[in-house]
Amino acid sequence: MNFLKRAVLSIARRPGKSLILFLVILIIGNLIAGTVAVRQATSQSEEIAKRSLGANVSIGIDDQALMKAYEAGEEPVITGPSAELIEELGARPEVRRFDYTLTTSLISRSLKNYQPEDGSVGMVMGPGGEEEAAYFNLRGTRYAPILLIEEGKLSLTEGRVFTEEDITEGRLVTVIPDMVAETNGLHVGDTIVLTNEIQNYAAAVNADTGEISEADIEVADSHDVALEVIGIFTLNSGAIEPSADDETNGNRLAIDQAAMAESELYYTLYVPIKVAQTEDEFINEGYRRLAEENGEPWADDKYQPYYTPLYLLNSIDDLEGFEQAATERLPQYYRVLSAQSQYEQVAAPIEDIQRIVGVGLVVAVIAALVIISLVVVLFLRDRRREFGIYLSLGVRKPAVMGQVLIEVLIVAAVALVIALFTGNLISGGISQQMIDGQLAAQEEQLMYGASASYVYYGGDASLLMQNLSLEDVLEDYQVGLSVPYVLTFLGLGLGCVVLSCIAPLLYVLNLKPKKILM
Amino acid sequence: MSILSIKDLTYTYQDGAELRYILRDVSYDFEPGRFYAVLGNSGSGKTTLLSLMGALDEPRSGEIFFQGASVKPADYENYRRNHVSIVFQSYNLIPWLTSVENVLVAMDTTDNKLPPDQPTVAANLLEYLGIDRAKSARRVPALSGGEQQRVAIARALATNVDLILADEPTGNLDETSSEEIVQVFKTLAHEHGKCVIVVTHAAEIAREADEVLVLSKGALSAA
Repeated sequence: MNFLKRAVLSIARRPGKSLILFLVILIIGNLIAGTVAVRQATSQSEEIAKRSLGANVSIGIDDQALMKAYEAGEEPVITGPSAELIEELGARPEVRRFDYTLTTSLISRSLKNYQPEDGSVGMVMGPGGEEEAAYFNLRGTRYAPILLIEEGKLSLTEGRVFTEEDITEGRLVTVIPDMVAETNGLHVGDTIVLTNEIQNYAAAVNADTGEISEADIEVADSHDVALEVIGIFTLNSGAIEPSADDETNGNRLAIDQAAMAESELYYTLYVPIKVAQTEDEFINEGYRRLAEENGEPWADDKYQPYYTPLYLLNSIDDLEGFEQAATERLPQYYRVLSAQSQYEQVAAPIEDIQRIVGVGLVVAVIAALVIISLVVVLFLRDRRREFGIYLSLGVRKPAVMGQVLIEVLIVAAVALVIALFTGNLISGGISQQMIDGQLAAQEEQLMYGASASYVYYGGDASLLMQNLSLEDVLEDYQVGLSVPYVLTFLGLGLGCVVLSCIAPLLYVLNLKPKKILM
Repeated sequence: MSILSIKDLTYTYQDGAELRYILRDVSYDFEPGRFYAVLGNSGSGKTTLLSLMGALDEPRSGEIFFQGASVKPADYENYRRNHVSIVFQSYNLIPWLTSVENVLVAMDTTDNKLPPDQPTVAANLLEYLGIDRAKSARRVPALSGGEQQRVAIARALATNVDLILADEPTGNLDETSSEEIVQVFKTLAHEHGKCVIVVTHAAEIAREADEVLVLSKGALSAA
């Protein structure tokens, strides 16, 4: 009768004690199983949501830091990241591709804007209000092949993209959307003319009422830009997926960035960055002069282009490293914008649940260690004489300890396997209630006007970085019997049981047969 | 040659500031094939002496020798497993096991060479000691005191050791059972060549012993 057989017989022939131990481990096992199941489910939905958000990052104003500065009575001076810094970060090993764009608006009296059925592209009135003018975004890009084309969001239907020389020399060439081409009968090789105007509103503003008389708006300065059409692109169908906002109330206060970005493409003309910068500088300088003439304040002494950088990282795992490196170099009040950081705001309810169950898990594990230890020690105290007998017979202490451990592990294994299923079922129900509660709370906040966690990226970044709603995250939330759950729970459960046996086994180790038996 | 020799065994305990001696320089040689009775009043140190001879405790000084070899504390477990068996006054059987299973625990523990088919050997041994097959299959609380003590003796014999120590083995038994147990010990010594040492305060056991020793004031001497 070796110690293994003794262990099995001990369980079978002392059913009362075995049952008590079984019930204790079953209850604690359910607690642990429940918390592990919810953690696995939240981690899984987090992982899926984060992966789906992709590893694209931009750089933008840190609203919170800025707000704090204002609240502290400071007068923050905001200086955007320089082209040199953007390029330095673009050379980092985490970066797969990068670009930075500069967007400025010009008008045209010879071209027409594409008009979608919903009329979402507006028209502007020209000086004097005597005629309509179309307006266009001139988006200067540093990346010759155009990032959105390389990433499959856009396709070139005619002509070519830029060459490196086009970019570096700032040639007056453009790649235009097919809507603009079709609306205006344009083809590759045609030349379009855009006008950059400095409009003086000084004479148009009624000093008493503050109303603007459009007929009195003067053109203070203007110049034309002639651009050769070298390529025509189209938006790939399905390239921009709207977020779940459209169908749910989760982010209903936010503008759907994808839809907005799509409509922006209707009037966006790609040009080399130097072309956009020249026009941007012209506008800046023109309005600075105008402000001087009108005796109005003008904050910027020196022209500062506002670039929108976009970095495509190798993988989501590179995000942390890049973010850390970038944060160290960025100017004050700027931060790395990533859909991942948005996740933390959107999925706050899920994170709350994860935190709660995290605490629950720690409590459950500590409870398991203490309670199982106590129960086993109490049971062993009743069996002192039995162990004394083994020792008087010369049974080795490791064998006695092994018997105890195996007895506990057999009971624990049965209890934990049952808890694996019951804990999963219970936690599925409870966590669903918690999620419903969190959703209801968020819904209430939104009803009272709390802003949704919406991030505006701007420019091409808007097209490569999705917005996320809580519903998007919850779509992937599922408490189930996954392999990681089973392994984590059984590992944790059995680990707790083994650790719980340390004190009882030390008790056995210190037994003196003479004191027990004589 | 002596099977068991005790040499200058001393055992003390601290009683406040005072050091009290239970055993003081106790020496004796025990021979195989003999039945010894160690007599002494309550508190004379009989049980302590037996626990030292059975390696259940360590002397403050002195040594025990088994078949001429010193038994060090590091060897105690091995000594108990392979060379000595102890029969206790309160039987000390495992209550949730049957008689046969109690015997099998000891048989499985020892490193001594034993015959195969141990359950049959154990059942035969129990039968030899008056426990029939039906009782052998019962859990020990279902047996009488005398029967339980026979199971304890069967367990002591099952490991095929040469030295059997018994601590007041008849203390909880009626007169008839006591006599039967004493006869078993005599048979073990005289017919099986075992050295049987019984510590007791029962004069009737002393009468049956080959040699009677008296433990008094920490010293052991022949009666």
